[in-house]
Amino acid sequence: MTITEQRPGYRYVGTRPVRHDGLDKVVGKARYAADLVLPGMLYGHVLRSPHAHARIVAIDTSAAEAMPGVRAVITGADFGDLPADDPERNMTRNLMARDKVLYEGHAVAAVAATTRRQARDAAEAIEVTYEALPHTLDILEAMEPGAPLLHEDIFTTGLDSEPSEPSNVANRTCYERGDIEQGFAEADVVVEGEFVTKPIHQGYIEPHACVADTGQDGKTVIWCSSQGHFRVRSQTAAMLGWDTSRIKVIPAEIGGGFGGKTTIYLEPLAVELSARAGRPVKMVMSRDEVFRATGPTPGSVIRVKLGATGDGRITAAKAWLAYESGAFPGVWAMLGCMCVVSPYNVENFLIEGYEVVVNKPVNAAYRAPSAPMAAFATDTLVDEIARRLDMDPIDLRLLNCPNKGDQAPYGPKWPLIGLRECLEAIRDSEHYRSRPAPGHGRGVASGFWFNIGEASSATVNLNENGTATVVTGSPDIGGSRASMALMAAEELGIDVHAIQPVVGDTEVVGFTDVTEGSRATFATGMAVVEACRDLKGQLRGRAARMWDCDVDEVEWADGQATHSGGEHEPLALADITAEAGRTGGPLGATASLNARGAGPAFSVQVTDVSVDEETGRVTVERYTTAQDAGTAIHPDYVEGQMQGGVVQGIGWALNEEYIHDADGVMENPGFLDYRIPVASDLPMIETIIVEVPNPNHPYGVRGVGEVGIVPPIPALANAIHDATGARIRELPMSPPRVLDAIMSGNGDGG
Amino acid sequence: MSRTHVSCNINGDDVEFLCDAGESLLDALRDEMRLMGAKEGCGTGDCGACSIIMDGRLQCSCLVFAPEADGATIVTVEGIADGDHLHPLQQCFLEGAALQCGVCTPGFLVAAKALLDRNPEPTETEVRYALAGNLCRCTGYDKIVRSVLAAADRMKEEVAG
Amino acid sequence: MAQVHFSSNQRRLTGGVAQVEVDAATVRELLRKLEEMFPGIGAHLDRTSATAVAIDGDIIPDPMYEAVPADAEVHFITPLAGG
Repeated sequence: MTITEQRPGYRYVGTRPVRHDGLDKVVGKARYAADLVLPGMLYGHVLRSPHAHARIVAIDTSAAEAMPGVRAVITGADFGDLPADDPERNMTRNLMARDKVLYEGHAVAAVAATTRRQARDAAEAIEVTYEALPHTLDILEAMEPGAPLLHEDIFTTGLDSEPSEPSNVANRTCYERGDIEQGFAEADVVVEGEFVTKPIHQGYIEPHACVADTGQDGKTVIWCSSQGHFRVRSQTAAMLGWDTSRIKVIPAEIGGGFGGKTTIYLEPLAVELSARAGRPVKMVMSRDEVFRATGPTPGSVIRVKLGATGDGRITAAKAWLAYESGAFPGVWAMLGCMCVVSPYNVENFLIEGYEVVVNKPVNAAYRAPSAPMAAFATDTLVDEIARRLDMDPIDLRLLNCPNKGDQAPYGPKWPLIGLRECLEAIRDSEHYRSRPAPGHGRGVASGFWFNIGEASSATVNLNENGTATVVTGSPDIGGSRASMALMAAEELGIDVHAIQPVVGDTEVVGFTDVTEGSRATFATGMAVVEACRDLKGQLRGRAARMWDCDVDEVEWADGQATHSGGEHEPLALADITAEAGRTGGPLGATASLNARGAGPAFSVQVTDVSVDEETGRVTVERYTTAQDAGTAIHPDYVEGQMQGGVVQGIGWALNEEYIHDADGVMENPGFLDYRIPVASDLPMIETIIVEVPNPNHPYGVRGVGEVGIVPPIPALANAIHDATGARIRELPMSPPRVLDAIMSGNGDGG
Repeated sequence: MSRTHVSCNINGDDVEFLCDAGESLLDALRDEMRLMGAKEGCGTGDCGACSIIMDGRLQCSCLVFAPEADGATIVTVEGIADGDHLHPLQQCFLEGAALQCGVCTPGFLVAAKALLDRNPEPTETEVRYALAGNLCRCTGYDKIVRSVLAAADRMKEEVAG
Repeated sequence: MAQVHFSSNQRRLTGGVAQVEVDAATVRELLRKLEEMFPGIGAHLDRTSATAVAIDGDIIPDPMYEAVPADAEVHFITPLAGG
């Protein structure tokens, strides 16, 4: 179902063609990084720390080097160290530990050998002498003075006075507006709670993989799975101390990323091993390594207090957020602060956030990073207000809904946004208008995510037969090739399957930022449109030459040149490209840009659940999500992003968590014990695409990739409360916790 | 270390290969036969990305020792299509946008084929349970389940037609 | 004159001032003028890895050469990360 407002009549945009890369993917031909085999290729293996926190006293690689098949062994001593203020320094120290290991799974050495088994056996033969150090795994404990310290050089920034002692708190962020005391004084209802979440993993099905082939000329070629091969290039260069021109990165198909493949783990190790061995080196992580050593999303402790008047107007919000960033600081608490009350107009608020390092894997972005935990707190409490006031939860949200021109909590005024339209779409949906089945509970929640613009490049070449090749630098992580082709088809007026969308390597297309922040269709699409518009100008010029008339007499519409005076028969694009050699040469255009004005994304969702009161198992009986896509270029893949985001949120809410033992060793590093949702856990995910076009994009696109994961946690928590009376404020809402909440009568009475 | 000789039929071809005793069939398919359609997502039988049909049974090839394949008949994703004619499941996956990143897709297609081979008219619930051993992180399964049901309908029409 | 707003963190460097008017053509000029008003704030804001700018609601990472329209509303914010 799609709700479209005043949509212009597009011919291709908004249709659902079969994706261009689909055939290769259904016949098993698509090439992912682990599928590449080069002649003479070696296999790399990483030795990882068994300790959560330890000093590396010595590493003896001699036994490993003497083993059969071993061609190269590297350790942290083989890599230079970046200056303390270099933004990539922590990345390089995550890829290979230097003086200390900071989490179980931290890389300490790597081996390249003829076979996988030889590489693994040799890695295990490396003798590392550790001096175990006390570790800290809990956010609140890590914040305490006297907690085991991960880094001697972290002094909390953002405090009122400069701290004299280092700590595990990297920074404090604060946003405030109005008079919070006055705001709470005006409130008739005040609700508050503490919400706790665990780290969870992005859970892409394809483990990290790469092949590096370093030549005697000091250059290297890397094939890898990443969300952005230009960042692979720059980060690899930073780790190795190389100039980027020595590195070519060829993007393989990527088997899921969700933010987790916006940074690197293996590539510089493979390059260095390949350089030493003089042979190509393939490195593929096991699932165990993916869990132990790649970025989960932060665990968090969030305390929120909200006040509202008797008629439902939210007058004050106070929020305290602590996010654990793993072994090195990130930006997670800052992002959480910027999202925590953003779906609401609140005049008086005080939001403060703390970024805390702990002895766990370094966090990476995960789909709308930091927003779901914050929404869990706020949207659960908003539900409590609705119950206290006996108000419909959608009406309450509509009453407090920000509009264009209102000031967002993080500073700027909102541009044109579609939150109200999403709320109305859910309110008017068949799902929301129907009553929940007997015994089922219903919950709603809303979510916000910024979306990002950034740099993109596209080259569009017209072929002599009237087809086009569209080359971009954005890896296709979920159907973006089809979106690029649709926008090019719309511009050029040729069939979408006459367009071949290609993801170009770092040497064939201009710089393009990582596919993150829901930016590919928005920003890279903008570059495609710009290049096509350049081409349309060129096509008019060529037609003028063929007609021997002034270019002003040529118009371009529906894929053909027409003469304004009607003196010539229209020329189709293929007529012009066929003559291109004689009218000035091949037709091609390139556009590179910094995309501005990524429209903020909102989603509103409703779910019905049943709860087995004997086991505590929650079953999602029905789920509907409405999301503002601006304009859906390929509605199938917009729906796919919405559904995928929702189901990841369901997994986060109900099942998923990192479990560490007291020594900081992960106890569930596999899909058997870290259980992500499977088909039999779920109903169909009903989608309502709301389209409030983004005025900053030629087709009105807003990023759709991320915001869908924000509402599910509070929506399910609210539904479980509706079904059982129990308010659960800690994730996951797994059967034992739900059962415990039911048994202890953990309701709020609201 | 001497290697084990294995003869089997893969996707209609009689093939022979050498493997290590402890090698998984998945590694043998990929490393020895260069059939890269089956993927390793976990190596522990939890994700289904390496699904194959071996002697009529759906298997995670990462849990099968390669020498066990001696004498077996194996179907991988590369063998589902009939020449240049896609299997209805493949066609319906394309038309129904049942894939995003595509890395789990070979496993889903093989598992869905195994289901339709024994149950040509599954209910939605039967589809969901038959595919519960295959993990997809991108789609939320909605379009996969719909596409399998659509393929079942199409195959029924083809039989009737 | 651009309206420049400071977050709570930044107000530590402005002596509590929440908003100022500055006449500047680019973000770089804006930073220079802010540094004259509030010594120390330039270095704080001029770390591209630490600051993005929202000009009239449009969030711009790495904004040093960005034009500042007359009467623009400017906020210095955290650069975003995404999945």
